[in-house]
Parts: sequence; C-alpha cells; structure tokens
Amino acid sequence: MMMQVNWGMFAAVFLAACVEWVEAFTIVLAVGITAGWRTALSAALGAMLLLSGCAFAGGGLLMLGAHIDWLRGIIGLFLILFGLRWLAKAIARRAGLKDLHDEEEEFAHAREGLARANRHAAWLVAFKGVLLEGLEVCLIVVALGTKDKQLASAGVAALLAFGVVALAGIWVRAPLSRVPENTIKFIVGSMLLSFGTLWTMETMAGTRVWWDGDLSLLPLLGIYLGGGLLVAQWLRVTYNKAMEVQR
Amino acid sequence: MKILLKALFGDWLNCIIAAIAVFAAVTVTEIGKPHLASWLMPFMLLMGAGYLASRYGRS
Repeated sequence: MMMQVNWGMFAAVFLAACVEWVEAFTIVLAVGITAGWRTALSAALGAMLLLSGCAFAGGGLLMLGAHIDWLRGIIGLFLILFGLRWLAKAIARRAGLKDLHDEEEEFAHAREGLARANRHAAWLVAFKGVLLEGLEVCLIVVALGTKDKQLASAGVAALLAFGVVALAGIWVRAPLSRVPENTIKFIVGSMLLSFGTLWTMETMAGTRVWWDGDLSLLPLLGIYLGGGLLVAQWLRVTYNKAMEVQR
Repeated sequence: MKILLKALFGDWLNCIIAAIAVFAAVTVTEIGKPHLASWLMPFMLLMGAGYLASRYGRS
C-alpha cells in the first residue's frame, strides 16, 4: 500500500536539515583543507554511523506501542524548546542584535584554530561538529517523523537535504554563505513552534481545541512568522534608540 | 552526554520560558477555556522568543 506523504512535515524536515548540514559541512571542509581529507572524512563518517544508531534506536523506541497522544505531547514539548531557540536567534539577527551567521568567518576561525592543533584534535573537531549538528537533524526527523508513522519520509527528507548541501558544497567549493540561513531559520523556527503548539495543545485539550485539525497549523505559522517579524522590528527600534541615548 | 542534553533542552532560560507557556496553557485549559489556551500559548511563546532575542543585545 502506498504511504501518504505529509508534505508540510517533509518540507519542515528538509529545510531544518539543510541548515544543520550546512554548518556541519563548513566544519568538515575547514578540517579537510587544514588537516587532510582522510582525517575530516573519517571523523564525519564516524559521527554519521553513531547518529544512524541513535536515529534507529530513538525512532524504534518511539514507534513501539506508546500511546500516540502522549507521544505527540512529549514530542511537541521538545519541538517548542527547539523552535523557541531558533526563532529567538532569528529575531535577534533580524533586529541587528546578533551578527548574521557568517559561514566564511566560521570557516576561517576553524581553520586558524586547526593550524595550531594536531591531527587528533582536528579529528575530534570534525567528529563533534558533525555529531552535534547531526543530532539536531535526528531529533527533528524522529520528532516530526513519528506523527502518522512518517519516519521513513522524514528520514528521506533529511538525507535529501544532506545530498543537496553536499552537492552544493562540492559545486561552490567554499563555505555555503550564499544560503540565506537566517531566513530559513526564521521559517523553520516558526514551523517547529507551530507543530509543537498544535500537538501539545491537542494532548492537553483534545483535537476539538483547534478550528480545523492540522489546517490550524497555517494560522499558527502566520502568528509566529508575522509576530516574529513585528517583535524583531520593535527590538530594532528600541535597540537603536538605546544606542543613540548612550552616544 | 553534555552535547545530547544541550541539543535536547538548550539553556535553562529557554526551558523556563517554555515551561511557563505550557503551564499557563494547562491552567487555562483546566478552568474550561481550551480555545483561549490555544491562542495564549503561541502569544506567550512569541513573547518569550522576543525576550530571549533581546538578551543578545545586552551581551
């Protein structure tokens, strides 16, 4: 029987995974150029193997008979924690309170540090970088994928993102600073918060709480995106005024 | 382990803001106004995200 793919979930996983893979790829690239491709690729492979184990274990446990409502509530809470961080950073960057994530600067910084370190340290840098970023991808895949048992399509979205980022990286042969990371983070942070709010509230008060089931994601997304932009604008004005007073 | 915890929960302020929003939504749901709770929660989370963002300006 053909499985119905939830394209909203697929897009959310794909975009979030793209952002995380870009960061991981930047670190691997810096290690590869500085300490050699053998070191960088073996570290990345080691981290990816560990991540695959985590993903299968986590996904398997979550798929084993736990009550779907409670499962959704717990996952919703983690999505809220995750989305809140992303949206806060995206708002801060848009308001000018935090520098835009500069992959080129991160690349130069990593390379400079690695020039002083030995090969073992370089391996650890690449391993930890891929593990940390990949772990976030795993969490998103497991969290969004367990809804309606769509773990396979969520995994495909994450792998597709990995392929796209790897191909783009090989093509440009430089850190992927052209990807408008903050815009993606703004959208993905809002999407994660929308899913998290929907599922947490459904667990607490049942599906009747929303006007039209999963379609309620759209107004929620609108609230987080629109509200986030307004908050960023307000913070920008307030921050600029405070800076003028200081001068 | 530290990496896993950081990836799961973020920092303590992040957890506190999420906990306040969820607690407020639970309370409002329990007093019989689930629809109000469903609008209160995104509003509180949005304000929380704004507060977290404003902290970057101070650091």
